[in-house]
Amino acid sequence: MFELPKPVLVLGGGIAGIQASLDLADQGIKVYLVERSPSIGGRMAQLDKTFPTLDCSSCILTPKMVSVARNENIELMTYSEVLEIRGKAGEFKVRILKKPRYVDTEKCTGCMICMEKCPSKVPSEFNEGLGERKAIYIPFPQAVPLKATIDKEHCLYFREGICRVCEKFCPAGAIDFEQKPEEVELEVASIIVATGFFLDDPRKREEYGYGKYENVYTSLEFERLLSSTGPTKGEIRRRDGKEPKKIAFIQCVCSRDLKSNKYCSSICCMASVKQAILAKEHLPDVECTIFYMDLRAFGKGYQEFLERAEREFGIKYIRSKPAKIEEDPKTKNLIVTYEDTTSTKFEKEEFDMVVLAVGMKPNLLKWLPFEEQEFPEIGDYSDPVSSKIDGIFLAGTVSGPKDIPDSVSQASAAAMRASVIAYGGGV
Amino acid sequence: MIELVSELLKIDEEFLDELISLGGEGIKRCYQCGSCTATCPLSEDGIIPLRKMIKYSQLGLKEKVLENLTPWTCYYCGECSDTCPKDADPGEIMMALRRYLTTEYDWTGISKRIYHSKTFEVMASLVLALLTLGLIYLLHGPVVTDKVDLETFSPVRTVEIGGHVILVVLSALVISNLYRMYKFTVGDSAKRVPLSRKLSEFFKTVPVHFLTQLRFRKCGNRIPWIKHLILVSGYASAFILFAILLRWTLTNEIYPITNPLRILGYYSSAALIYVSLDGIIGRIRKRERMHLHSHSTDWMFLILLLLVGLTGLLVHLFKYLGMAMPTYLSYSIHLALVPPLLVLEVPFAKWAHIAYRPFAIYFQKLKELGEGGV
Amino acid sequence: MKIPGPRIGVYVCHCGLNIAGVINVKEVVEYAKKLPNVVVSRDYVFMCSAPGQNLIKEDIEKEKLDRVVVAACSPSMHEPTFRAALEDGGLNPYLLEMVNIREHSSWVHSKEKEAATEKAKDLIRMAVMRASLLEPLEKIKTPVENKVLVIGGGISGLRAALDLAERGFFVHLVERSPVLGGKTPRISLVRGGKSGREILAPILEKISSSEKIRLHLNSEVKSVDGSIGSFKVKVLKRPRFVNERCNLCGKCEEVCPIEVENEFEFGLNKRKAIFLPYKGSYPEIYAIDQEVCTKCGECVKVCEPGAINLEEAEEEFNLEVGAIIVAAGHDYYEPPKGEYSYGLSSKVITTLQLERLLSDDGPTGGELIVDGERPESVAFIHCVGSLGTTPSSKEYCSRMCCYASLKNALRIKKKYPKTKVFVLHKDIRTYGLDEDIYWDSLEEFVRFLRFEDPPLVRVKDGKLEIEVFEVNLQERLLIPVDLVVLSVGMVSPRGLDELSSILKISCGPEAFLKEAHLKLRPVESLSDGIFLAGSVTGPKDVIESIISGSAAASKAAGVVSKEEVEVEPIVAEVNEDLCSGCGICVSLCPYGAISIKEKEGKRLAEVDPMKCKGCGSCAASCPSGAMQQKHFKDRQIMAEIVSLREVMV
Repeated sequence: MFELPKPVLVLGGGIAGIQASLDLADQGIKVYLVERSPSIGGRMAQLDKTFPTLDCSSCILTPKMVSVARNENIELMTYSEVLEIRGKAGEFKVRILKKPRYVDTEKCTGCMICMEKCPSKVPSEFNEGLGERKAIYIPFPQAVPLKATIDKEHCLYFREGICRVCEKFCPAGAIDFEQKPEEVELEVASIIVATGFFLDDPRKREEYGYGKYENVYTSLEFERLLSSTGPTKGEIRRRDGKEPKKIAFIQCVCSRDLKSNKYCSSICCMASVKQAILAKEHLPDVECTIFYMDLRAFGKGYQEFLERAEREFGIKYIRSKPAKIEEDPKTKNLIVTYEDTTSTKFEKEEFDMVVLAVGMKPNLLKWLPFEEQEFPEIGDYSDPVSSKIDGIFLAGTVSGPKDIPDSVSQASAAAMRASVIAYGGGV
Repeated sequence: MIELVSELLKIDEEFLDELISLGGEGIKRCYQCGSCTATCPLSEDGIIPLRKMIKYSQLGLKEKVLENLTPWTCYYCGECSDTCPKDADPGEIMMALRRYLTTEYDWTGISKRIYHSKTFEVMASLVLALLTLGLIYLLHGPVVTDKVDLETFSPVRTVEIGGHVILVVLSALVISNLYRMYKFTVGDSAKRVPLSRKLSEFFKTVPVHFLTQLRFRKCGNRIPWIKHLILVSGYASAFILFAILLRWTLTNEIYPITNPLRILGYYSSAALIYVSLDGIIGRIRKRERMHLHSHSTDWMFLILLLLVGLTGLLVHLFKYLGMAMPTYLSYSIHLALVPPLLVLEVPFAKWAHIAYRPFAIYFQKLKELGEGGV
Repeated sequence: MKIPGPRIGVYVCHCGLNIAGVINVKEVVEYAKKLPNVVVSRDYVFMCSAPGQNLIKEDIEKEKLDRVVVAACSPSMHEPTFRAALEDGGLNPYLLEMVNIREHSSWVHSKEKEAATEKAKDLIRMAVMRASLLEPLEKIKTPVENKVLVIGGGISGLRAALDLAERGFFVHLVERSPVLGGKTPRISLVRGGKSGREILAPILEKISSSEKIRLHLNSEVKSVDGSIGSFKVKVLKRPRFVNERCNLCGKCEEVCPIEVENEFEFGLNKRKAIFLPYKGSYPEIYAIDQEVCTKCGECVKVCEPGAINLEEAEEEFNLEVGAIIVAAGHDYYEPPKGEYSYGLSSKVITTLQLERLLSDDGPTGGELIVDGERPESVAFIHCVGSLGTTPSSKEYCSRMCCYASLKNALRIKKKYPKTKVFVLHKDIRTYGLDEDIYWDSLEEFVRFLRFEDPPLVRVKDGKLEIEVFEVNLQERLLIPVDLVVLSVGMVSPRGLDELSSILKISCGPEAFLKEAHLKLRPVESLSDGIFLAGSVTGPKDVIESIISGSAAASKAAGVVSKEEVEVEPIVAEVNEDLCSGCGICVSLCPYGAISIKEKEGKRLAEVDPMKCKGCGSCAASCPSGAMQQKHFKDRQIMAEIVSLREVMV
């Protein structure tokens, strides 16, 4: 029907990048989906369930991941990074570095025997440092592509010249220590940036004791504890292995705060309510208390979810920003000092576990022509997925904290705008 | 359920404007998170409704602010300001409230003028100082120049009378202002408390807190409390030496170095000079939280204290060196500084806290008793 | 002699340790070998991987398999994968039976390994029995009309239309009012210092010069037939009565005797029956409100260019499109008379009315003057019509009202710094980067009061006073104010019920249109080929609506960029010999896919395979068994059920 379209580059393989790629591919456009980690899936793969529907996150995500893998129009480049972007809308030239996995992806079957045999243990990024992975690893069982990757920094062969156990046991002979990094130059019509977010450092608020006290967790760490694919197989346990009886969720840590980020991270109120409900589902006797300033339940079904949490699950809401957390050195329990702003009572309450709802920051790296660590601005309000650079569009949390439906919507919108340029229009 | 309340509160905008001009600029920023109240080390004793005070201020609820003793129970450790995510500076807001309440308790209106016009305070101090100098000029004894004859130059009797007058005026003003403070804060609520109980509570709270500021030691590290104690002991010793023991200290004699009076004298000057200088330098360098903002009344008080200490030391030094005129002059200046300090600062300006703080603790107790506490 | 029959291959997946960690796979494989018609039985670590799929492909050739059973994870994950593998191997993809022994066994019975293994065996036995009865099916292909219909000319519909036109597709844009723009032109400040008009302008400009967009104003969709790829839409165009010859002189307006509330200004002033929707509108032509016009003809008399034709008739026409985007917008909560004294005092207004008052092109030219006076104090009340605060309120949060009201509070403070501004709120929901506006308001000394029970607004001697129980203070306060602004929520638009039944898309509990999946499919509906844009699915602000419009366009583009669309053949089918034309199936079909046709004198049910979703309701209820669902025929299902009970050796 139309002239052949030029390809589009999508940076980031989280749900936004995945959705944008699928939409573009559906229009017959070739997509290069570049993801810096060994698998696509992003943050959603780390979630246990999503609010307010309490869908199993992996279950709704993995079919989309599989679609990406099967789609003929999408060239998936995982474990790859952008080196340079030149040019302009309609004719960008992008240099991509394909990092060496030291595994031949044509041969690897994803059997995971190498992972079993590898002696080198590393804190697992997927589990937010709570569990371990091996130096040769597949980040999670539903990874796409389901191929092993050797982390050079922790591999005994690369560091000390010994081991090579993976090579011995690999039934497909897929290990290739000689693999070299590959540089590829792509010509694309437009670029969609969907590189997602990371959590800020809760040590900016020292008084909450993160990193000092062992039973203070971030929201993502707690999410991994809740997940059946997590380090405790979904059992909520403190560091000492005990089941918590009282969990405190503290909102707005590194958000709405002059000491770190002024903006609101948008989704943490809902995420904490969800986590509190899930904690109750795992441990029916646990008491969950959420310390908040404003409960931002603004989306569809969110207010009802909030109310349901209180009504059906007995989740407590206390309007307060706690001043500090202290640890009881014997029990390792945490004492939260706060003023309940509704009753004006000053309290010191003991909890077994504290979950900090930490603020989001965008993943922006030097090679992107935006301010580092600031959310990139909208280019044109009439086309709000545009950035200040023509032909580069934004999708997902990289342009501002947002939930999954908004990320998906924005991703489709970015795909639409990128497709116009791919077909030669709109420049 | 909505309860019926007999009285609805109204918003007073003028009060708010005043509060802001006294240092409460951060009031508008507060979004009521409550972390300041929770951080306050004194919150453990009972309710320090710090956040509530800020809300009352935000909404211009003057009556609520006047009836509240909270600002006097705060010693400006500044932790609340350090914690505040909005940089509303609750510590300084409390300071602004203390300034405001000082101007409100005072019935003469002088306090208001002092706090709203630095020229007024400076001029008033100067006037008082000059008046005193004038009096000294008129009433001084013969000027002996070949040796230091302080007793002749400044007869003890005259100074004593001057001292009594000042004390009477000072006490009248302080007591009347304290009465107003009582009316605002306790009002009728302690009607049913028997007099004997009222008295016993008075003796339990006021003297101790007056002398030691016990609550202050809970604030942060104890250093501010210790420094303040040094200052207190400094002027307390000065009071003992130069009011009570005037006959033994207003002499030409130079006591031996081991004499307790001399030692106490050195201690007194050292204490006054050290702490006031430390405060002034701190405020210039903006070292601590409480030093970040300085109102004219803060400077005046510190400068007066420093000058008193310095001049006192100078008197002793010149006496020791046998320099007559310098002794008489520095002594005159030293005396001239006393009325601004005692007649201006204590009833109307920053030093008013010497009365309001210990009495706040007492009044708080009366309120609690009146509301059925034990 | 060997009985010629189906030759079944069974493949049991380990799924790493997901299955093999619980189920004894080898045992299951051995068991399967003994089942009737099973020719080959294998296991593999990851069947979905390339080597796993190769096993199937090779066996189809070598062992001449004609049915395949894969025991692995959920079909929703990998059924398409294995169907593709069968196709690659030369077999019809519908001859695959997938058994879920992961979600249905190893994952849920992870602590009972033996029982899980037995269950896996049972499930595979059932699958094998069914597999032997499977029939090959052909996918249904239908050609795609590469045009798109956009219903609604508000900002999300406009963005969607423009995106599709820029992409090269033809768009029909149907809008029921006489002009484009929807609610956005009325918003004087959206974001980044821009007004709604400023944000609309570039979009409208491009649309007006686009050859790919056909505008149908004053029009409404009356019926939609067909399915994805070929929708047949009936549109009713109402007469505007005024054409392009209009020179905007305004004389008609002067003489028109009919006056009604001006909805553009949210009722702040009046307009005539003949009116210009707003200055700078697109198109900038007068229009006559058919519902109130008495056809007195006064306007015709004074119209010099002769642009008015009162005889203009209604028109009905048909459109054929491949995809539909519903961008029907929203309305605002109208507080009932007396709620917060709304309607009892002219000094109680809504945020929308305030928006107009603060607008340069509004009834007061941007000056905050209400009833001839400038208020010295203004109080905003939040959550009006939301969060169940009053009996007539909705339960949901309207998302954008906190931002909208604070934005206006800030505007008032900046323009009239001495005005006292109060905001009475529940939670302040300025989420994401919008938190800025809350901080800015605080900085300008907007005062916030938090309530749980809704405040009372009283009119005393013509003056307003608000009584509220402030939750942070636990005190009851009385605030006399000059102006009360009610921050109202969004509600579904007038007429959505009708549109919803025309499109057969249901509404959720909030009365907005329901999307296919709240999280992952926010702009799709459950009807293939129909997409949902903007605030029609729920409260959104202008920017979110624009993004939503582009998103829906992307989905529509995915449909109409193809020559043909494939539909799953797992549809219902009528055995005409058995059908009695009773019509039970017709009434039960949720998709309107069945109709009764006359064929050679007989009444027979007919299934439109394009609309049928394969839910099986008709087949289950058919009394004669004439209605069968392909791939789930009665005998196929019965074979499974029976084999659960009997163990065949």
